[in-house]
Amino acid sequence: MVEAERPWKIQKRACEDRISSLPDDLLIQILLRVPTEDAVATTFLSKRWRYVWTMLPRLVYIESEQSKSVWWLLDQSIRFYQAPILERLCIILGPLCPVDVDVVNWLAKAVECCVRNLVFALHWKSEPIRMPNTLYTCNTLASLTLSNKILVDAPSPVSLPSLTQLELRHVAYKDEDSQVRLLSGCPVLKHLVVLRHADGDVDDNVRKFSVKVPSLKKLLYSFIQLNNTDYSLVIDNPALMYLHIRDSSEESYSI
Amino acid sequence: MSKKNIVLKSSNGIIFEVEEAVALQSETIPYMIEDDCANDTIPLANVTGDILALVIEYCKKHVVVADGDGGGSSSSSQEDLKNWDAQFMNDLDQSKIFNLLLAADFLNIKTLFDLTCQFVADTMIKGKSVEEVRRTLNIEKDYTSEEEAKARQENEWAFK
Repeated sequence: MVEAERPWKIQKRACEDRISSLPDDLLIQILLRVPTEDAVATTFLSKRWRYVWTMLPRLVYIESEQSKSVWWLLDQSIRFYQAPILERLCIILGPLCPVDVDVVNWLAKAVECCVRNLVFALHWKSEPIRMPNTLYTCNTLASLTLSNKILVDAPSPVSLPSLTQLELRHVAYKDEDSQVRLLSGCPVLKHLVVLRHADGDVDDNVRKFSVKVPSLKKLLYSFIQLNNTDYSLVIDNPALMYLHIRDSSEESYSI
Repeated sequence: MSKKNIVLKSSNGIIFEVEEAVALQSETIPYMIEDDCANDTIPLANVTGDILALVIEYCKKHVVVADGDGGGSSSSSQEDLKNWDAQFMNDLDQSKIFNLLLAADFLNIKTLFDLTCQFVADTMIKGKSVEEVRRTLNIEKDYTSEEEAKARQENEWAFK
């Protein structure tokens, strides 16, 4: 009788659900070590797991061969997110992202969740898209990278009081004023990366690019120009320690 | 000069005597030493003997490497250590793994905590479907069939 019970006991022990009894902070530590897609999918494991992923401080959504519908995952999941601070949100979407999804809503949600580091790269087939106005007045934002099909249409005033790092990679600007307004709203900005290109009639709507940021320490500016339009760069940054300019045009600088 | 030893006592009363350098990989133990000047034995109320033995085995292995062995020999290179860590985790059943995770968290041994979390993430969750994760971790599905069907319909992305 005793012998008959033993294997049953061992089996029972082996089948115990131990992980679900761990405290939330340990489950979050585990989920931080799997791809965001797998972490979000744990919401369907059981009721215990339903909201665990929504407290993850870092979310990464990157389109790839293996994750073709990552935009769909992002679109469906981000509204459930509820951590008090979103430490890092990285969204890199390619041509598989449909042109009618509500990109603005994702970013607005990130701002609501007090995002601190945001990377948003959009390589879709549509025109550059506006960001929500709240992005330009986000108090918590410390690092921001915008890349490709994004239209910088900065409202007045811009207020990004915590922003120390900004990268503008081949984005478009509504106009020159918008570009100036964005930088003037960054009182503690230290590192700025600006990548631009112009080819034929297509450029980023800025002829004179102005960088006037008193706190700026490091500036990396690159401009690949493949047309004959006149462009210029104005730099006025008393605290600048490091400057790297790569410019294929031969137009004027005033520093 | 003999090295200073520290005596640890598990929740079920098992005594372990270890070199100070081994014990001090835990960031919790130094506080316990300070608080507990009258008695040389440090009681660990929520770590059982079998788990504490594993923690000590891990810390002993890692302290040797942190010290170096004087001769600069490569007997415990980073690569060897990684292999040892992998083998160490592979030999454990799930119950031990989760107890070890709790112990590493309580004792605040960062490298062991990272190792355990990473092992759980890589072998039990990463790249698996919802059903596979449930099976691996013995998680009981407590959604009703209606809830499950609705969730599946709305969230095809989660069911690889």
